[in-house]
Amino acid sequence: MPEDKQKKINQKSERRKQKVEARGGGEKPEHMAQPFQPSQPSQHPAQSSARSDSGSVLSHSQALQNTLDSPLKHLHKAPIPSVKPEHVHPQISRLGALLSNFSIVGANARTLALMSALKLVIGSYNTPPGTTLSRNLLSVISPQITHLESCRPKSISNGSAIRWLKLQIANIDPDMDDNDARNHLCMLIDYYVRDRITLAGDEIIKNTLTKLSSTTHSNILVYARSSIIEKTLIEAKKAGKLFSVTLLDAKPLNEGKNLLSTLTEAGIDCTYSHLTALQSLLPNISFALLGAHAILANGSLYSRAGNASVALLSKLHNVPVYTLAESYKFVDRVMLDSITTNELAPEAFKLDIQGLGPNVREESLLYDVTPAKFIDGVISEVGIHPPTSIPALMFRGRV
Amino acid sequence: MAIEINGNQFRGKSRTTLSQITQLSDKLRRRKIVGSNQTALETALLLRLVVSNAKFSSIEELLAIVEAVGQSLLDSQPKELAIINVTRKVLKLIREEYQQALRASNLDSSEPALRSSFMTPKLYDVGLPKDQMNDSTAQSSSYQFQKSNSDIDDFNRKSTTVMIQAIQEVIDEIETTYEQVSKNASNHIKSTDVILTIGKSKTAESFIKSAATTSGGLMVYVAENAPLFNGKDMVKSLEQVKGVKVIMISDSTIYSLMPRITKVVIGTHVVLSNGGIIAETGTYLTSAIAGMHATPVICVTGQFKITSNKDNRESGEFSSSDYVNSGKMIKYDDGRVVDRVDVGVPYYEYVKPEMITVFITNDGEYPPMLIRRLIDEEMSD
Repeated sequence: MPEDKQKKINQKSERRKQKVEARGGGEKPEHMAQPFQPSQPSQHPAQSSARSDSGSVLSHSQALQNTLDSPLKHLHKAPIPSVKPEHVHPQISRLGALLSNFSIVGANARTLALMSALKLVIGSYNTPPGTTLSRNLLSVISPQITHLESCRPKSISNGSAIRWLKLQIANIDPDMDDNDARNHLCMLIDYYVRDRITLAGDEIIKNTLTKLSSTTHSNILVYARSSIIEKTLIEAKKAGKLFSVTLLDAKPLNEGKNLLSTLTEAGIDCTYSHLTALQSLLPNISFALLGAHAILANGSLYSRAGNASVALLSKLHNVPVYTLAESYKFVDRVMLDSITTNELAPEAFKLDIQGLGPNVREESLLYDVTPAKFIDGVISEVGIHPPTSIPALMFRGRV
Repeated sequence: MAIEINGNQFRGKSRTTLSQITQLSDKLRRRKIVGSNQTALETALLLRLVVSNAKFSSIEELLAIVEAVGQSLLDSQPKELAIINVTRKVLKLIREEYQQALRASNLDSSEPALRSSFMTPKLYDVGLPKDQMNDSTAQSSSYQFQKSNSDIDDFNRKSTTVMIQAIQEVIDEIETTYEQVSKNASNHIKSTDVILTIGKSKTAESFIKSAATTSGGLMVYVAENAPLFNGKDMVKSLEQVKGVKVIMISDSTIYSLMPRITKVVIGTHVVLSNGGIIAETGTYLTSAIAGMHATPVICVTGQFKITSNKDNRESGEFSSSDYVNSGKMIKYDDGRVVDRVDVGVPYYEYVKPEMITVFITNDGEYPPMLIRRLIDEEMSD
């Protein structure tokens, strides 16, 4: 009897430990997973710790030679040795392929896809005898995440979603029946997607429409493509708001073109131009709407490369800048520049350097950091706030 | 004095001169000649031809002809303000040379008739509008014609020669602009610098090349400047210099990389009298980002690009009628979108003087606020 008690206490403390680590996020749970998954490639934990320690990774020897002096050296990553295929759920490997060829882009789309894939992983999970779900399931999910990361570095919103899920798994009562636990987790994921993305989106649209008038014409500046901005503009058109859109685009992804076809299909007046031409267009702009990849703890916006330029020039011309972000994109970190944390444009979107010498490199980043001072308001499902209030919102949300 | 250019203004090969003028204005209109350097050079060459073939009885007439030719070129391409700059410079030189020649000949005082040439003796009436040719002037001019024809003709021919020499100096100045601008590049740029430039400017190109050669190595980021994509040409030319590491970046990456850049080098199309510039689209973006990061912006330019023209100050006015081919933004392959969208990328844009740290010209370095004085000194009539 006392032995049993001791066991339970041990389990509890173990769980608490997991909870703490799940909150801390990052690579650590993968180390945790190691004892439970002896078949995992042994070099993997070493690799991941090397990454988190130095911030730079081993590059391909060829790329290394070319990029020795580049400030973006650390972004030229060697492929992470991927997980053995038998540990990867088929849905995850499918998702990985879609992510790596950029068929799924955008923070929301990636989170939705990840969550629905993880639901399938959880649905097909059975606790092996001798362990509990709350401990073992993590060791099944970790390689899935590692595999996805080898396809494309995970987005910040994915990171917080995964962290949230790990916390939920750790919270599962060890005495809970497998079937119940699976259903419970899938339900929680559905709620997360519904509350943090779908309903949040509706609320953001409602909040943004208050900035548009049905009687006075406004010209909205939009850059690249954001799913929430697309929905907002289409809803605004349906609601009879009077506006036209100036849509800017730039390499490497040229996502604006997709948005352009959706908006014109919806019957919205569009002017399509290039980021470099912004200054000539700004005198006619009423305000700018920017999409978000993440809002940082100091109110800065981490988003598609080019947003910082748009915000800066808008500010110089006294054009208000609003950014639309669901509150799950608020993250607990600060970025000092746009170089340290970023992602290089993938092979398919490289700039045209055909016919140039072998010494010529090309580098395009996918994201940049817009300082909070260029942003007038963050429109989220909780309302319209100045970017400097975001940390306060985050603290309130945590309680 | 408004003058219509026609065959009457020119001696001998009037037809060739006229066709040269038409050819050049056609080339300008059709953008066969782009870039202020080439435009300035072609203008100066044409003006040399015009001056050497001009049929004029007085200095005013010659000045009017030159001005009319300049104006007709400018009309065919109002965005190329280098035309008017070169024309003004040539006009100024003509006046100076003429007065010098006059003074010299007056010192001789053997030919009093020369003084009257300053007073517009009408040697060739034919070019004047009909209403000006009333009887009295016709009489007086024919009188003078008989009296001093050979002297005045001789003087005009002589002064034409010195004027052509003066125009030749302008041409030489334009031709050596690149070398002159790049001469002192090493004073500003060392091998540890990281340079950013956008698009292609020949002046910026030779400036960076010279800096790289003297310092023995340089890292240069070139923004591709979509939708013109002329950054690629810049990369192509820069990579041939030994020791230069060229990296092409997309325009959206300029902001992210700016903290690592130590100097921004830009070319320009026109320098305005307030120290602002009119440059290719994309320059404002780069300068604004540089300004935000307190990175110095070096604008390299020949002095022929500095204009005292007071029009076109406002950015909107200048960029409103000149657009980049919209096919570079949207193609018919993109489907139905083509019919429903307005595509607009202006060719040029205005950059405020506050955004530029220094102008490096072929004749010295000037902060933006000194441009006004430079114009007063060099170009005022």
